[in-house]
Amino acid sequence: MDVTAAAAPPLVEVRDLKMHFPITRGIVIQRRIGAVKAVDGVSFHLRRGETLGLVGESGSGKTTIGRTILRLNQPTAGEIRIDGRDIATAGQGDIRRLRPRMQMIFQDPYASLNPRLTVGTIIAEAAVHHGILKKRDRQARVGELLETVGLDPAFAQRYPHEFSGGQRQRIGIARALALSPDFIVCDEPIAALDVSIQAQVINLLKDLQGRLGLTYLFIAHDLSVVRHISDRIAVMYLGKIVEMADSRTLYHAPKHPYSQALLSAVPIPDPKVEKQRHRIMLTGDLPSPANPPKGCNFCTRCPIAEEICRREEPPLIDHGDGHQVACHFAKPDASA
Amino acid sequence: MAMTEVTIDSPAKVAWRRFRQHRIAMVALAVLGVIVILCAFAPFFSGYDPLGLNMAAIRQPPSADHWLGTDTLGRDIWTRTLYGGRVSLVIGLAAAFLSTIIGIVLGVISGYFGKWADMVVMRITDVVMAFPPIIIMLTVAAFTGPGLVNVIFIIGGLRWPPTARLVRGQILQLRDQDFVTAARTLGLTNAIIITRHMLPHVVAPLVANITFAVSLAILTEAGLSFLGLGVPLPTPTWGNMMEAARDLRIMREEPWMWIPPAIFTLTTVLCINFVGDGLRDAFDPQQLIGEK
Amino acid sequence: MAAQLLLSVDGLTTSFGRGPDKVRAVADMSFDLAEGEVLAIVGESGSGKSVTMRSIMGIIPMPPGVIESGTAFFDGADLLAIDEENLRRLRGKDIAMVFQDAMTSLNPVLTVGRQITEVLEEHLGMTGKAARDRAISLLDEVGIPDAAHRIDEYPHQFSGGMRQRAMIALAIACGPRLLIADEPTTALDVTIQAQIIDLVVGLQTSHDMGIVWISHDLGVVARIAQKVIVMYAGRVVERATVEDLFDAPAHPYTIGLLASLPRLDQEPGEHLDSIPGQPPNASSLPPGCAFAPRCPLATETCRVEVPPVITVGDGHHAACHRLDEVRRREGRLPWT
Repeated sequence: MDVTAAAAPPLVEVRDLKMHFPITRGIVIQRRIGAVKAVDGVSFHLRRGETLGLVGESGSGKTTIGRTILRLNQPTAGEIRIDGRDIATAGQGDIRRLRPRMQMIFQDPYASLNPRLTVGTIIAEAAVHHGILKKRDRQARVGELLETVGLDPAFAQRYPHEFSGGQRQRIGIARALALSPDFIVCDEPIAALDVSIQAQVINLLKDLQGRLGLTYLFIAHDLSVVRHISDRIAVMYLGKIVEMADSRTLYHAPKHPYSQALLSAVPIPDPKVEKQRHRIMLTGDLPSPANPPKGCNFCTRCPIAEEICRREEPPLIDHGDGHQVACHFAKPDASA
Repeated sequence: MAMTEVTIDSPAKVAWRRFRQHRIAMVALAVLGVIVILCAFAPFFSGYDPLGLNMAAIRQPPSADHWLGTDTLGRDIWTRTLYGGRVSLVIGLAAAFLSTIIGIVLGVISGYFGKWADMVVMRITDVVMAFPPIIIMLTVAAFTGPGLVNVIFIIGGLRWPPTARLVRGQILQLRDQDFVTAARTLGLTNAIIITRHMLPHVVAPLVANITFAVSLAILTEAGLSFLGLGVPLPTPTWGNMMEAARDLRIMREEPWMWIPPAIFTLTTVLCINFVGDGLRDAFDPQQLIGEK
Repeated sequence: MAAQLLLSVDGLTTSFGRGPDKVRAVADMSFDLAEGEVLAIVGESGSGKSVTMRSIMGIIPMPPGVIESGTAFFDGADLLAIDEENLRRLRGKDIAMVFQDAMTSLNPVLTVGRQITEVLEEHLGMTGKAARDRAISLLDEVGIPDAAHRIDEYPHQFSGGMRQRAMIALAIACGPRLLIADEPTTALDVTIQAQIIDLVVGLQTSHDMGIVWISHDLGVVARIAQKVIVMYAGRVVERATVEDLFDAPAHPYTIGLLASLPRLDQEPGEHLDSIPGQPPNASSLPPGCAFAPRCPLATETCRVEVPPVITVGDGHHAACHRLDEVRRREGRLPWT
């Protein structure tokens, strides 16, 4: 069990979350012939004001986790609690009323803004709907939010297509902030942006967290970026968390062979460093989440896999200080 | 903050600007306008009563008194064509309106809520589409009897499946768009999500679809009336005026009796279709919303 | 230098559209590539890096594209001037291309093997069993396991990484002397990206190809390139060897870009330096230096006059009015 739980209850608690998408066949009479286990037994928590980075490659289930926590999917099994309130089984009406507390920032700034609404409407619509914002305060609040995200308040009258990707992402952030949320799922918010804009958005998100005490679940595939914003990081592989630790530990002493390979694969923008780096090459591709391997999910690509790995699934074990690893061969911290 | 010149263009404004560049559609719109004005204000353009018999002047070819001649009962063809246009246009618009409403409602239910609702709606659609429309219309018309309102309900009630499918397809696509997901995360109700965030995007393909539905309804009315199952005489419609051509002698020797309504029908339908084309291009989302 | 010149581009200018809507995508682009050399062209979306190479390959849509001026000599022939037939004969044989999206560049209705044998027949006159055997050995060479069987599969049966490998096999089928790689790893996960980069680096050595690698990722560039061109708004802003570029970047844009990249091998600071403002819109470029609106050193001259390309060192050039100031500040710029 978590030792820090005694201090303050976590804002977000996820326990043994499963999200299986059925695979069906037939048009008139649909038969279930299997399931894509996008998320398969994931547990973690987030303290208030903390950022948990969720990294993994495509198909790891990281995006599904974000969407399921916000109940955009109906979870197959498991518990989700945000500020003590049950999210996993709440009715549609209750969920709608809880939504202002939990928001989302999307990956694609082009697809996530309704092209037919003005920026002002996009930002204020939900706040007015939930009664958080009175119509007569609308203009002032929209202006204030636009300034908060570093945009000109005059932009409220314009349409999304007039803006660049980075500006649109700021609009998306303003839309989330309009509801004064506690918790924001950031679903790869900078992956679609130009390199020179990524740093701007990361800095903005960090500023906002400091100012407003936000709690982030930051989903990304880019490890160098996640590190800049995360207090703790969870590495996912094929629907499961394989390693979770505070950022420093994860980057300096990763224990799971997948985390190690992932870190060594990230190119570093320095030719001298690149020439000397030792890289752990993974062979093959991610197995299908509809048909995961027996035993450890990673055994098909793992450079150190042995017989036991193909037979038994390694549990996620705490190796001290909240550093959790799911590997038969992860050694406890002897040196530390 | 320094800014370059700001132009605030709502999507509708952009669409109108693009429509105006579509020359054929603009001409068609103008011609359509003339026809609508002629029909709507028929009394201003003709001194005759469309139902007024005149046994002294039957089967007259076009002349100074009767610009387009008279029919077998001595009624003025020009007058009847204009008054007939009123009925035909009303039927076209009302039937298209009805079928569009049914199509939107069923399409939205099917596309947005999915699962069994989708199954039920789509099977009903399949059934309605499986019957040859003209036969089912004839059967229904035979039961309900001819009449303006009946014709509207028959056409509107049977022409909705293409609209429903179109709307369903659009809604299905939109349902997975991030901005719709965003609307859900914002806690908006289904009604708001559908009406504010989805339906406006369906308008573009739908507008073109509606225009085609209008022209199809006009043609269907003409067909039904031609077979004597549409709007009953003596009320003129373009359809039942053309019915005169079923008489071989009229068809061959007194073409003024059926050519005017035929030309009006043809022109109207063509123009509506051209306008529909123009609207479709103007609303083309790729170019409307697209980058840059 | 013993190395022969393979490709020599001079003064390439490509625009799209005409009249007031005309957008200049590439302006006055020049570079040389020696045999067996790897050149990276780096830039953000809209910088003209892809259009440059597509112009040279004759695959930009015309209209609306227009190559206004320039020459591109390959093997004594000006690629911009020779007729379509001769260009076609070069393409796929002496010059090959690899794209970002293998799914759309491979034909979905033909087996992978058929697509390779087709090229072998067309350019090398190989037929029947000889072509098939060659195709199998090519697939084997790019690391596709069980090539003899997988040759009869369709692209959709391949995973993303495998498709990319198949496309590379197709590209090297006729032993090209120049390989143009247009962001071939951008859509891939990092562990797969590392595999593909390794593969291309290996092939480059074994086949002695010249490579033009188009990318927005400076980490990848640091790993594979010998020379780098940085583009901004359709123009070259800096050109250098990879060591010079990362060690002593001269152009403020390059400096800003490198500073804004989080690096895995460095402890994260509180804030990332970020380049302020938005990337320029190609349809409304400022009259002077396109980077001036975002540049901390910009002066009045920068705003009105396009900067000339100035030699900074041996093989190191930058297009900037303020190089002296950059040097005086030793590359530390006052980013806000």
